[in-house]
Amino acid sequence: MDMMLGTLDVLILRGLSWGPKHGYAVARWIEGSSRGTLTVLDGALYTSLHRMEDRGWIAAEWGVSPLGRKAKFYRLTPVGKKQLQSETQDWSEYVTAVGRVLKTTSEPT
Amino acid sequence: MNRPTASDRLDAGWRRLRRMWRRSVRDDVDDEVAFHMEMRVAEFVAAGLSPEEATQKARAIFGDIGEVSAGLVKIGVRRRRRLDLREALDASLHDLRLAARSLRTHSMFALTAILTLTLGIGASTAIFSVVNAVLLRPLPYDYSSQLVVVTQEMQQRAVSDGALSPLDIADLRSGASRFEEIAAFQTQPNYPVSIDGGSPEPLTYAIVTSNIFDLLRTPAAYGRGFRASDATPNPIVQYERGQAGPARFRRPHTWLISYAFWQRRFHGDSSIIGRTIVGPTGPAQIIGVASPQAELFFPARLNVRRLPDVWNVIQTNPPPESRFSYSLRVIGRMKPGVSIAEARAQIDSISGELDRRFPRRLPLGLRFVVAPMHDFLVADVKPALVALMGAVLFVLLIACANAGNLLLVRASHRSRELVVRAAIGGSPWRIMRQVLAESVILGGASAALGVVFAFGVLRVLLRYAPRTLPRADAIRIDVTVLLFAIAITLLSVVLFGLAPAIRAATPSLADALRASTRTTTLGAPRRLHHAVVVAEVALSFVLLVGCGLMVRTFVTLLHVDIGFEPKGLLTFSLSNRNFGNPADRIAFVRQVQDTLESIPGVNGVTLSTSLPLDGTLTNSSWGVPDAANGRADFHQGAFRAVLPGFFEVLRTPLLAGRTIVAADDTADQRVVVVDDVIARQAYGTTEVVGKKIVARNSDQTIIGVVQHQRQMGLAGVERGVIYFPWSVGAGQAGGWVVRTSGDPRALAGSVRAAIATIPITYRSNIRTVTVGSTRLLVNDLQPMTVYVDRAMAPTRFALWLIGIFAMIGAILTAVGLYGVLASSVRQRTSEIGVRMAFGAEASDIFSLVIGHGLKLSAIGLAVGIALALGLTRVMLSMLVGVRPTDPLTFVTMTILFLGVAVLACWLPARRAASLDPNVALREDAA
Repeated sequence: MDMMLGTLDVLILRGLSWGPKHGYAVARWIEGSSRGTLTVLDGALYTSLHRMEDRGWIAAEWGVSPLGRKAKFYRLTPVGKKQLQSETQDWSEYVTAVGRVLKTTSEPT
Repeated sequence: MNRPTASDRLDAGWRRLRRMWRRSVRDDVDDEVAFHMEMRVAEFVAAGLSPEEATQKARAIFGDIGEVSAGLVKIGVRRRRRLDLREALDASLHDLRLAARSLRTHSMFALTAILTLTLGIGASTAIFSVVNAVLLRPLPYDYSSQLVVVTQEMQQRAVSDGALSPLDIADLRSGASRFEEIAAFQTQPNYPVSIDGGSPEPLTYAIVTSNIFDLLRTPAAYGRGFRASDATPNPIVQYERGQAGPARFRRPHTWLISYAFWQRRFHGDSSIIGRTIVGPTGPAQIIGVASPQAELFFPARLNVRRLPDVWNVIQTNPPPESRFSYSLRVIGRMKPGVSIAEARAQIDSISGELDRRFPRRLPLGLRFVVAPMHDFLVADVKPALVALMGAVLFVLLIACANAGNLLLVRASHRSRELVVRAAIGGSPWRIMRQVLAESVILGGASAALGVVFAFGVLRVLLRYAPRTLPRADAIRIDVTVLLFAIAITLLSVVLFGLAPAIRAATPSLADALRASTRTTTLGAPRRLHHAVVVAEVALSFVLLVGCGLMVRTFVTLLHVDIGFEPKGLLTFSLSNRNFGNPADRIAFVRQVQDTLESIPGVNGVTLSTSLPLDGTLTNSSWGVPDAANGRADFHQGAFRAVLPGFFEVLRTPLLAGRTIVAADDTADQRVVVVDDVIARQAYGTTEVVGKKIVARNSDQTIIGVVQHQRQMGLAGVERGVIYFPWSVGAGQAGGWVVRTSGDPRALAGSVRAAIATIPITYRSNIRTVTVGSTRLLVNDLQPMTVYVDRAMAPTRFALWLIGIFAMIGAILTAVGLYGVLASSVRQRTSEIGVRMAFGAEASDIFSLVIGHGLKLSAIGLAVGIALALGLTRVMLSMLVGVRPTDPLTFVTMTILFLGVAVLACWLPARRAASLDPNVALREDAA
């Protein structure tokens, strides 16, 4: 399933909400938590990460991966946290609204 | 091979910086992507794929690696640049805060520097605002660069800037195809106009060709402008004996009134259009209000009124004899794209054509001269303004030098601090920035104060500006001036701040150590101080010489023999009296004279068609009769008709013969008095009584020779004057002169009162309109000394300014000299101690320090003299009776300056001489 524009950002922010992760870990988390439903090009993921870093939603730092490799770790900034909250809320409202419309059984007069 | 310029180097540096950013960002991106790919490959291999398949799959789910990486690098570089800039800004703000704190703790130093720079920046800004308004800003007409002024010169009689004749102008207008329009005009002050049947009011009057507002691109603000049809031919004028005014009149004139007059006199009343007002030539209908921009910008010496109150149209069909009557000023607008050279060429060819048609022109050497209107307007004042601007920039440079020296002294005081900071690893760039930050704060504060100061200076300046300064009302501090202030501030900061900053950033450990122990040499750091002081001395010497030359000019002017005694004279003119026949005119004059003479305190009353130095001299030709060939050799001169007693009242010395007496004052006498200029020009001597000259188309017998009265100004060669008895040569108007033994101003009230008692009936020229009035208009009632003052004004003004600049320059230089010597004495304290220990007397030490100061001054003076010899030439047009390289001025100023230098050295020398050797030896100089 392809993703709607801007959705990737929220997913990444959510993925980082448990603590710093490098890009690969974020990709794996999305695949895992959507049980493979959501596929995203890894390149697009990195573009989104860098863009959000540029916006100041997330911050990056070079560190050492659990396997002892040098990797770039991303973490949420306070701005990013706020962004995640508001986007999550927007998203659920949107989903509820769309769901309500789709569940309507009678044609409005 | 070209050497790289500073901007090339800057470019290269910027490119290098960007390459550096890009490289580090790219490395990061590559590392990150590589790590990701490794993890993916490991993941797929663990899932059972071969390494090749795993790599392929990892690539597939990444997308285009090259494209993505490039995108990431782009984002990264942008981010890095932003962050670096923010960091630089933060650092600068930090530097500024530190510098501000440091300046606050050294407030005396800061105040001195700011005060000095404020003087420099403020004075430069004020003078620049004058230069900007007068020389730089174009005239306030649309496409004003197309506008030219056409004047006429008589090469054979050394007349230039002359007016043109109506018929010549008609030929110019029809022949000059490279011009859009050619317009002509004439202005006249104190023109009596009666409004709503009231007493005539003295208005400024302009008579113009109907196209003048089209030419200036200043359409009427209200109502309509002039049309060609407004210029109807002159009415036929018939005088009858004993009656005033022409017998009939075709129709009312059509006049425009000026915007300012409309506001002032009619409070902008729109019903003014169509109303009739009455001038000396009859009733006139107001057809419109001229644009507020309708101004006539001409140099003051030509006596053109810039802002006429009323505008009338020149009637066409001038009579043929007016071909040689030169009365009109001419403006032209060149067609777009026509160069001034092309315009000149065409006007020259028309002039040549006229020479062929009218051979009478040839002996006069008549030629039209075309000049851009702006150039023509400012030609008189330009050299003086350029010289003043130069002088004030010198003051600014001196101020910068002083501030720079203060900073250097300060840097030397903290040299140990700076060395320590450098030694413990403070980056030179960082230290330099901090010192520069101080300069920036000093410069910024001085610029702000300087602009405020300039406002004040400008107010004073404009109050005392001579009336010869054109466009004085346009002088103000505007955006251009503010930009100039910012530019010179930046320049100043670089000038006074850079050297100390570089010095601070590269402190030599050895120097600093030497400075902190006993030293007997003048180290390298002092050399810069010395160079700066030498420069200051040189610059302020040039200013002093400029001031000295102005003083000499001023003194020369004060001692010019003007040919009359202006003290105790009250002058005025009367207008609104229009006489149809000479008898009435003479009776009227006699009546005024009698009335004035009866005022207590009046010692003499006289009248002349014009007064010396009032700026209204006319130019006529006269000749020496040559019996041999029956023709005359003609010259240019001024004619004046005077009442008997004119020379006695003005106290003009009689050189030969006698003055005009009552018996001469009849129309059939052909006698004249000439001044010595005319006498010498005609016969090479003043012994000319009884000889004849030709003037007013007939032979005149010279009955007396008087000393020349200065006419147009106090300096330069002037044309002579021929004096006729009043009844012979008088026109309508004239300047009355009253001599009193007391203060002429005190007499003004009684003169007005006396004139008011003269019972007259004002009659307009139209027989049917008779306007009753009991009041004659008294204009320009002022002491004669006003005219003399006015002639002195430009010199006085320039003298004041240059004098003030020279004084500021000298004081700043003295302070600079003092500062350098004081700090030198402080640094050489231990040396002085050693000298004293070896037997030097206090007087030896004293002369050592004085000698040091004088040596610096002498070098500065040598440079200054060379500089002044080259530069004072720009003052040439401002000088009278003194050459720009006047040795006396140079010598006087050198001595004066050495005196100032000794004064400046005195205190430090005294301090050095009074040192106690025991203390001095132990003193740590730093």
